[in-house]
Amino acid sequence: MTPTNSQMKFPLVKAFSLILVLCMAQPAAQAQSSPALPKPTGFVTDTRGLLTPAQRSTLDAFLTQFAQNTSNEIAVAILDLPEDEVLEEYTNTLARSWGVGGQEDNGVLLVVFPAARRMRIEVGYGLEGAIPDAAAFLIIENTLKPAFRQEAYYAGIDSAVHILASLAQGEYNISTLRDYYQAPAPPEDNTAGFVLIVLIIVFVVFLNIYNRPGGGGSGKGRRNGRGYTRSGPYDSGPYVGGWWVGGGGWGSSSDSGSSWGGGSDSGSSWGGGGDFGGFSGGDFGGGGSSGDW
Amino acid sequence: MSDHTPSARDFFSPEASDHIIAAIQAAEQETAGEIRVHLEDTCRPETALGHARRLFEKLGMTQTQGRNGVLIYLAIQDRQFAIVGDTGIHALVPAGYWDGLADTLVRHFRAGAYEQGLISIIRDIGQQLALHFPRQDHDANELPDEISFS
Repeated sequence: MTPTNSQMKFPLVKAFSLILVLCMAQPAAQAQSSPALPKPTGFVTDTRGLLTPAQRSTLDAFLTQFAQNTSNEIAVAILDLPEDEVLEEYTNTLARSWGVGGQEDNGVLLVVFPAARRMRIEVGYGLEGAIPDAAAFLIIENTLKPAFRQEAYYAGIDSAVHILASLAQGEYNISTLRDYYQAPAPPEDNTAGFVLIVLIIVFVVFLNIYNRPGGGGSGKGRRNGRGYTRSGPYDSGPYVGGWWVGGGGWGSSSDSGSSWGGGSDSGSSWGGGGDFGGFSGGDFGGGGSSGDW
Repeated sequence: MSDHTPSARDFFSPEASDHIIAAIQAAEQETAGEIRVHLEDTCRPETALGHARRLFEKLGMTQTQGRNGVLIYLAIQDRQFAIVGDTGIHALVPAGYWDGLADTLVRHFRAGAYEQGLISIIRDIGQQLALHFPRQDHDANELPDEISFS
């Protein structure tokens, strides 16, 4: 994206070719994106001031380190949705334009529109296997929505980002995530499942025809994906290392937390300053999931 | 670090549990607000804060009349905790209140004084709740007084 200013002495040829590339890229980019697409300010971009500076830098530090350690990139954007924009198109354009994710399109962009009370998780092609749409959906339903309903935006975003990181690294997959959330597995998206559903419908219709006075009674098989009704055993497998919640200090949130482990803590001073060199690429298909709260 | 981290259920001895529950009951004597302590082995893959928010809804803590429930959540193996206040009580406490509680807890926990740390912030939260949500004559105990696990 923005060229680094450290080495300004390009050979002339290089400079010309760069200008040429820029000239060619410009109209295409403009034709595709709306006039004022916000610029990323790091792994966390918050044009709404939803997070406190401390929260933003804690989150940014985690995501920066995650990108360095794994080459996967997870970015967070808190924005206003322009009035004439369709959410899915806008977030997809944003993810492509920002170029979240490296050469292998291994990027994720979590976009929150607080004013519209809407959100979306965009997943780059390279991570669609590790983070299928169903996983993005589960995170939105089970982690982001409950937190946002309590106005605990940082708590929700921070937690969601950690889950996305675990998925990207393969520490979790859709099946273990489903277990974790105790979410019912949806009917398989294959012909056997389809045939079964058709059979059930036929059966219900059949029952209704033969049971005229009773009428209804067909709603039993319905399930609406919201699975957090009961608490139970959690997957508590062995995990190595620890991530730090960061030692408090975040202004006006309605909660606070910390870790009490030995070693480093509190003074997590990676600060949010410095220049942001931009993301390195990334292609986004239609993958992801969105939701309202 | 600890070599022998007990599971959430064994983390507090029966005596310690009794003391903590007694502290919750004493605090709730003075207020219509609700305090709850919840322990788990781990909050992975979430963070304690986000996970506590999910639990907060799951445990029915957003159902209090005055939106004045407070959840203290501990993830024993992760050595993380979260203190979560509902919107009603959060609107009334001084700025930085929750962070102050978190500092107190960290100080105690680092010294291994888990029971004392919890009791100390339960008293503190009780005072805040009593200030803003004094106990009503017909006050119903909206949530059970116990340490819960999952």
